[in-house]
Order: sequence, then C-alpha cells, then structure tokens
Amino acid sequence: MNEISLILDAYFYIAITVFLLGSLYYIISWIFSKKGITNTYLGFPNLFTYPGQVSKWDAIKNILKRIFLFSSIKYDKSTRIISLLFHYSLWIIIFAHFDLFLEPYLVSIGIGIQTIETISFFAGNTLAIIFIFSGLYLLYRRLSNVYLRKISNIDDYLSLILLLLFGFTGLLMRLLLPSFYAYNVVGPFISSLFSFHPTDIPIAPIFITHFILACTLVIYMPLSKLLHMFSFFTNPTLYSIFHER
Amino acid sequence: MKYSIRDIILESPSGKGEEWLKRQKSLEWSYEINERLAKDEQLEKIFLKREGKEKDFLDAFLKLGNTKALRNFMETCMHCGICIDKCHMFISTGDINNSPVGRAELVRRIYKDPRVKNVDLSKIYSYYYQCTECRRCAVFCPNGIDQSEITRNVRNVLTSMGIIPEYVVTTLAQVYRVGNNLGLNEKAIASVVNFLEDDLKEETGKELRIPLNSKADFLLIPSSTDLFVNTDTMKGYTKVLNALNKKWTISSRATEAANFGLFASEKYLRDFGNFVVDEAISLGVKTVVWGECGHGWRSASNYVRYELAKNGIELMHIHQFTLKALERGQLKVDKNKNDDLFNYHDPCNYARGGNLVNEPREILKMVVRETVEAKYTKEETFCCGAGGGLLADEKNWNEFRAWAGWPAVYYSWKTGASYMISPCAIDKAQFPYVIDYHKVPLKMKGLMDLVGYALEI
Repeated sequence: MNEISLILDAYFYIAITVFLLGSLYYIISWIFSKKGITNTYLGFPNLFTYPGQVSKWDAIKNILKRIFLFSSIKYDKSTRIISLLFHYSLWIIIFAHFDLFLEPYLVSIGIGIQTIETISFFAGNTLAIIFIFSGLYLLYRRLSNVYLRKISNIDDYLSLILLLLFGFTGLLMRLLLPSFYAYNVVGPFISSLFSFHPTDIPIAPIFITHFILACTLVIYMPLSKLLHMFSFFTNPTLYSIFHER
Repeated sequence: MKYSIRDIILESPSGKGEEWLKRQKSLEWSYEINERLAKDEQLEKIFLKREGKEKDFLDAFLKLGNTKALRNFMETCMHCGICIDKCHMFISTGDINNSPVGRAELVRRIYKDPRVKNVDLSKIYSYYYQCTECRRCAVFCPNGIDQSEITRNVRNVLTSMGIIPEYVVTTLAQVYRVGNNLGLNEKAIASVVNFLEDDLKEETGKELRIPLNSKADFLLIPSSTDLFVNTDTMKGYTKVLNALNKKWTISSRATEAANFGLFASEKYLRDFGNFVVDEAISLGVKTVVWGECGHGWRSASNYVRYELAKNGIELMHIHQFTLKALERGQLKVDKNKNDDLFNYHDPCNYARGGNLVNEPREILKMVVRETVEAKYTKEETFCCGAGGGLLADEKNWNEFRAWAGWPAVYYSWKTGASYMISPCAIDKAQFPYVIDYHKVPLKMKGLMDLVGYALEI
C-alpha cells in the first residue's frame, strides 16, 4: 500500500470514530443529563405544553413535521423552500452514493448498467446544482442580513463552506471523471474501507479532494452546529409530553 | 436587510413611531433602558443580599449549564435567525440582543468558551430583564429552543446574586408578607369583599356572597388585581359560582393567582405554590379553581397541580369550570348583552405553557354576539410586552413597554374588533396602557367579565 493511501485510509477511520463517539457523546449527554438539582426544570416537571398536544403521537407528529417539512419556518417562505431544497438534495445525494455498491445487485435484478448510469448522471448533477445554489443562497442570506451577520460565528460560515466545497467537488468528479471510474474504481475502494480491508486509494486528484472533504466534514460534524440534526428528539421542549412526573 | 414586520411601528396612530425608530441608532442600544434595580433593604425582605462578582456568575451559570434543557439549547442552535423577527421585543426595538438568538448568544459565548473571564453583568441584566418569557421563539425555532428557559436559568443565577429589579422584589416581598402581590391584608380584603357584595346587590338585586376564609368545596384563587382593579372579573367569578350554588370561598392568605417566582427563581415559585396548597388543605377543599392569570396558570398547572394531587385535591381553571357548566346548561346566558365584535387574544402562558386554548374561545362564542380571530393566534400569539415581571410603572421604562406591547395590540386592532379580550391579569394591566399610548380605538376586557355581563341570575 502506498503512503498516500495509508494516510488517507487512516484519516477515514479516524473521521468515522470521531463522528460516532462525538455524536454519541452529545446524544447521550442530552438524554441522560439531569433536569436540574430538584429533578425539575426549575420547578416544572415538563417544559412545554404545546396547545392541543395531548397525546404522545401529537408530539411525534409535531417533531416529524418540523424535521421533514420545516413546519416551524412557515412565515419565512423563501427561506423555507430553499432550505428544504438544500437539506433534501444533500440527503438524497448522500444516500444515492449507495449506487456505487449496489450496482452489481441492480444489474442482477435486470436493470441495465446504461440505465443506472444515465439516471445517476442526470439526477446526480441536477441535485448537486440545486444543492450548490441553495447553499449559496443561504450564504448570501447570512451575509446580506446585518442582524444575521452579527450573530454568525466562524462555525456558521465554515459549516456551509465545507458543505458547498464538498458538493462542488462531487459535481466536478462527475463531470471530469468517466462514469465507469466511479463504479469500477471508487465503488470498490469505498467498499474495501467499510469492510475493513482497505485497498489503495484511486489516484485522481479530484476524487482525493472530495474524499478528504468528506472525512473532514464527518469529523467536523460533532464539533459544530451540524449537530442540530440529532437534537430534535432530545429537545425537552419538543418531547416534554414523554416526561412523567 | 429590513424585517417587514417592523413596519407596524410606523402604523401606530399615536404618530410616535418615527421618533421611536430614530432612537434605534445601532444594533445594540436598548440595554440603556431597564427596570430599576432593587435596593439592599428591599432585597432583605426576600432573603437576598447583593453579592458576587462576574466570576461567580460564570461559575454558577456553567454549573447550571450542565442540565438537560440548557445543554440542548446551548449546543444545538444553528444561528438560522428564524426567531429574530418572531420576538415582539426585537420587533419593537430592532436590537439584535433583544431577539431570542441574540439574547442566548450573550450567555452561549460563555458556555462554549470556558476561558471567558469577563462578562458585562449590567448588559446581561438589561437584556435578560427585557425577555418576557413568552416562548413564542420556541414555537418558531426549527429546533424548538426555548429562550424562556434560558432566561429563567440566567435569572435564577442573577437572583441569587441579588441582581433583580425593584418591581419584582417588591412584588415577591408582598406575597411573603400577606399572600398577594398587591399587599392586601385580611382587613382590606374583607372590606373589598363587602364593597363588591353591595355593588353586586345593586346591579342584580340579589344577595350574592363572596365567602372569605370559610370551609368549602371550592377554593377560588383570584388574581389580587381582580379584587381591586379588575373588579368586573371578580364579579364574573362570583356570579358563576353563586348561580351554580357551589360551596366556595376565597382565602385572605392565598389571594394570588400570579406567581412572580416564575420570573425570578425556583425557590419563590415553589414557596408561593405551596402557600396555595397549604391553604387548600387547611380549608378542606376538594377543588382549587384558578382565576384569570396567564403565567399564574402556567405555574399552577405545572407545579401546584402535582402538589395538590398529593393531597387528593383537584386543580381547575375557572374557564374549564365555567365551560363545563355552560355545556351542561346549568348557566343561562344572553349573548345580546355583549352585542359587539370581540377578538380573543391568547395570553402567552395559556397558549404556550398551560394548554388552555379552546376553552376560553368556546366560552366567548357562547357569551358574545360575534367573534373574530387575529392573524397570529393560539400558540403563535404575541406577548403583551409586560410578562416576565416587566410591568414596572417607571418613567424610564414605560415607553419601552408601550412599544413592547404594540405587536399584540396592532394585530388585534387590525381585526376590526371593538374589544380585545384577554383573560390574564398582566394583560389587563398592560393592554389598556398600550392602547392608550398608541391611541387605538380598542377596549380591553377579561373573559369572565363578559360571562358576568351575559349571565342571567
């Protein structure tokens, strides 16, 4: 194994470890830390009685609506639509990466390689462009609003810029590298990492950049505001109904 | 960038909007206005001393920061800024630190960086006593971060250091002294009760009693202002309870639905809650009926309810009680006596902390001819601008709270209603002042007042 591979493979495993341990640390600390000295929230057993939220199912519905429809941003229409596009395109792209490993299976059930690659090419590129433009809008929104600028810190910019670079290098990969490269070279390499028998990293500068950015992002996640994706079910105002006194 | 909702400032019929906007020279200016700090001799009355420096604040806050709610709220904010223009305090002041996220940032910086050694306590005091704990931000925050809870935590620390407004301290001290915010002693209450009974006799021609400190099944906890200022509300309670022939009483030792402990520190919240529980036990009642008070109901339904339950006593709100009777046909009402257009304004703590949204609406529909809903209702309701202990009548402060209450009054005014109905003691003190300041053609009443007018006995 060459030296670059060794370093990058190690980086990958470090990133996954930091991500898992870091996220778990936060999730566990949110769930298990004490309410307060008197085991209440300063006197209250629960925090939030959302009107009409009488059953646990109501609370779950409320949380799911917040997560999947961004229901709480209903009065900021453009922000709601664009951040929905941003988040959905990001998640779809991340999950669509599974086609790298799933291709042999998809072929075995009778879907042609050509079909898979065409869908992947057009859908992938469209989503990447949506992701990049909506991300740029969010950056613009942050910079153009004097109030928002005032409360923003380095983390807010860094998270967004890292994500944008991540998306941008992904798009470039698709445009610069031939499609068989992704399925025949990158796919097996990623599989080898997840099966703990790492092979040499494919030497394509744009892939290596994308790979490094992905690992950096994964490390950065538990250290930054990107943690917000885990917070919904641990936020005591949202799930207070599950608390019994 | 401009938040369009702030345009309502210029729409104030008082014409003072431009002048108010002119005062807003920078993004951080409103800390110059605040409620007067308590003096040492006042602090003694609620067992406090002014002690502690910046470092003590940091230590105490970091210790609290280890708790479930604060951990979550401090660590998950993504600075999306959705909450900024949802806060009535920001809408009226345009001060970034007066928005939920800006206010939280003042302490989040400490939380995230334990190396911080210096903290401007006077600024923290100002901004944390410009939050009304209304929780509108928690409804709109994508993550559900509740700034009111952060405020309560910070105020808990500030209170322990004796950094607390004079208005809140004097109110707390009155409750320790006589059991209510206004400082009415037993003699005063007895004479008010006599006066109200005479008044009711004149009005209805019937002997309607307000029993005081007697053994009964129901203990009514009115807000002390209902006895003294908003007497129509008290008459409403009396008519309903007498029409139903209930064995009821009020107590001179627990004549306060409000609980300013919610605005200062857990200790007071518990103490005042326990005063009511003790009184309910000693009078041998089966049910405690809570009067019209927003934050009082929040602390009652979240604290007092459980303490009463330990002794087999039930807690009910007067609206729940009245609605039940209305639905069973035990009360006869004539809608035509309230012949006008009424807008129901949800008190924040009913809608966002007490789960009391539908009952008052249903009662209102039964006792008035016509109702109308404002743009932001139920959990989205705007705060009156004086919750959280910000009701001080101080020269410096009055203009501030007149503007803090403007969004709520504005949207009620825009419905075209002649009456704004809000069953909350703080609203009843704040809204008439805001309405008068902005010269809006609106009148303000409590809900039980209307029930009283419509009731046929």
